[in-house]
Amino acid sequence: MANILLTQKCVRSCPYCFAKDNMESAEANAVMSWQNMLYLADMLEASKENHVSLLGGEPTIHPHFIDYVLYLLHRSFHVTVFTSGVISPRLLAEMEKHLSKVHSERLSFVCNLNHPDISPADELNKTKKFLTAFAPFITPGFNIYRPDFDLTFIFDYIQQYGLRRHVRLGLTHPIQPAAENAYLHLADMRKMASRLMEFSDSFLKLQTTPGFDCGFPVCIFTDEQIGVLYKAGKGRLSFRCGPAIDIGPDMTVWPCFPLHEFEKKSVFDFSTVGEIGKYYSDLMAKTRAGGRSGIFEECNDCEHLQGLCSAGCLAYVLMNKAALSGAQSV
Amino acid sequence: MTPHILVAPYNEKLMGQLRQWKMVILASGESQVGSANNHLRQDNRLHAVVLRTGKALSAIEYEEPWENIPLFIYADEFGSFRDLSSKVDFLRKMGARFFLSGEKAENYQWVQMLASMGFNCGVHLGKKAHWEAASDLLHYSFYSPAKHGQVEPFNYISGNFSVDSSINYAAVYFDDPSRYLHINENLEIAASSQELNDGIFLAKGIEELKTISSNKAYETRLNAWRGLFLRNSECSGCESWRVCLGKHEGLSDKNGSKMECQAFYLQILEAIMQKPLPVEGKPEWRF
Ligand code: SF4
Ligand code: SF4
Ligand code: SF4
Ligand code: SF4
Repeated sequence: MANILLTQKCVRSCPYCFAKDNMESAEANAVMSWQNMLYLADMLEASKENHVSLLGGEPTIHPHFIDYVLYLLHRSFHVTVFTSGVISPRLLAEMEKHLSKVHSERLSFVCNLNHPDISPADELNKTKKFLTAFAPFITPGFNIYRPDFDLTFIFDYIQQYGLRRHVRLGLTHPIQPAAENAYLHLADMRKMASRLMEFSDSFLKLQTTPGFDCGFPVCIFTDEQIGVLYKAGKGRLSFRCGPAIDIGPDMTVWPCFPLHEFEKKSVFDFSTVGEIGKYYSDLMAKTRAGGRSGIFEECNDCEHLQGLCSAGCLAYVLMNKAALSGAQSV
Repeated sequence: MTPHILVAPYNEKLMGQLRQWKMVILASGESQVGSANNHLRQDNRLHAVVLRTGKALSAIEYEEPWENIPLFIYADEFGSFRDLSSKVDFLRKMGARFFLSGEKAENYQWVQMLASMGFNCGVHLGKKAHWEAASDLLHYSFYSPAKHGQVEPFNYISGNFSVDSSINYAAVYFDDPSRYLHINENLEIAASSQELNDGIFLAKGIEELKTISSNKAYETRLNAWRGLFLRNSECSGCESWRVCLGKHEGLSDKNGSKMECQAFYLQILEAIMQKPLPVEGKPEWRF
């Protein structure tokens, strides 16, 4: 699967923003053109992909956002849109007109929700209107960037608006190379895991599955906690780090936002999405090799390595390698 | 010689007068499509209907799913994708072919988009074309790894070109006088739609139509390409001549040592040699 970035601008400024560095380094007005979208749709089809994700910045502010979604649906793709849900009333009305009749199995929105306490009133209002209008299409997403996070509002939203009963949990990682975003520090990982377990009853009671985005390490949970999560997640738990494949409006490609500066290539260097995936998987594996391969010292000798766990997010590993080589050169 | 197919505006009297011929009807409104079909279908005289409403492609309203009518929908511009989107399922059932004018650069990309959704379509390459956009479309048509609808005129050229003769791809616009003749309500006959509009007639009336093959003006018109050589135009030394027949004479700019049009047609020839397009479509219908 590939992520297509429609825009390089956002309407929000989340403290942990994973796209910020990339947006700052890109031309602000860069948007995905029809010509590039047609090329990518063909490439995905030729790669036998049947799913495509649309990202930004904020993808819905692209002037052809609705057209692109409709086009990709006509091309028989399943479409997932990653959005803040902060959508102008005019655009929301257009979206309702053109997208609300699409079968909800073919179109999904992952709405990246921030806690109401850090959301300005206007943003919150707009997001709530979006949740009301597209509830059956929406999976709530939450990015964890501090250990004392709160998911209560997400469970409230699920019930109040009738959202999909699944929460996509993202761990915020240090965006390389500067790591200027707010992210979860390694020292806080276990605290974060314990905090997450405090919501396990809510997951089970509301029959809502937790879904881990990439980079969760196995060992921050006890065996008992893993058992509970396994049950709550209906047997689906992932502790992987693998290239997400992000494609920018200018057709550059990189493995994922935290590694946006890591060997950027052009889409035109590859024939299929599979080739891109293999290229970055190999490169990521090569980068881990030699020295500490994971986020913790124990990773190299860990029984879970390569089986259950990818040894955490490569961005931390790179940060560690950079710190080590800095210390050596000193 | 196969009798000509006549291209005429929708006119019931005219359709009645031309009972001996197969016809391509030029419909100017949606309602004329079904009517033309009703008039001509029973005696198997309907070759095609060309609908040209003056509206953008996305704005055309379809009254019924004209499923078994060989329908060509022409428009100068595409319009809005979201407007077209709600009609896509309906259009797929119809099996119509969509043609956009080659005079607007963005139309080439819309044609590609339509083809990528499986529609057979084309760009109307007139005298003035956008060569870079045309070349992108040609590459898409021949080399895209994804399945797509036919794109004219590339499909026609690929399917009909032979190394030892020339080809007039204007047949896809019903503008090849060896197969199509244009006729108006006054029974004035011309070799192309443009010539009919410009008042350049070859003959007039049913009797002259019947004997058109032995008509001097018609014969001269068929051999008009010879003029390119007599007047020593830039086309006379052009390697692409056999595909183009001088369609853009005097209207294309030079790019390096070649005319832009010449470079474009050379790419077509190269593509045909490397990877001719698969022959598809209904075998019972051809341009
Ligand atoms: S919504 Fe996404 S892109 Fe926008 S600021 Fe937040 S994390 Fe960044
Ligand atoms: S590989 Fe590393 S991160 Fe994963 S479980 Fe083992 S020690 Fe923990
Ligand atoms: S490096 Fe791995 S875990 Fe980190 S964001 Fe990229 S894919 Fe996810
Ligand atoms: S390609 Fe250009 S130069 Fe060649 S025959 Fe056609 S119009 Fe003339």
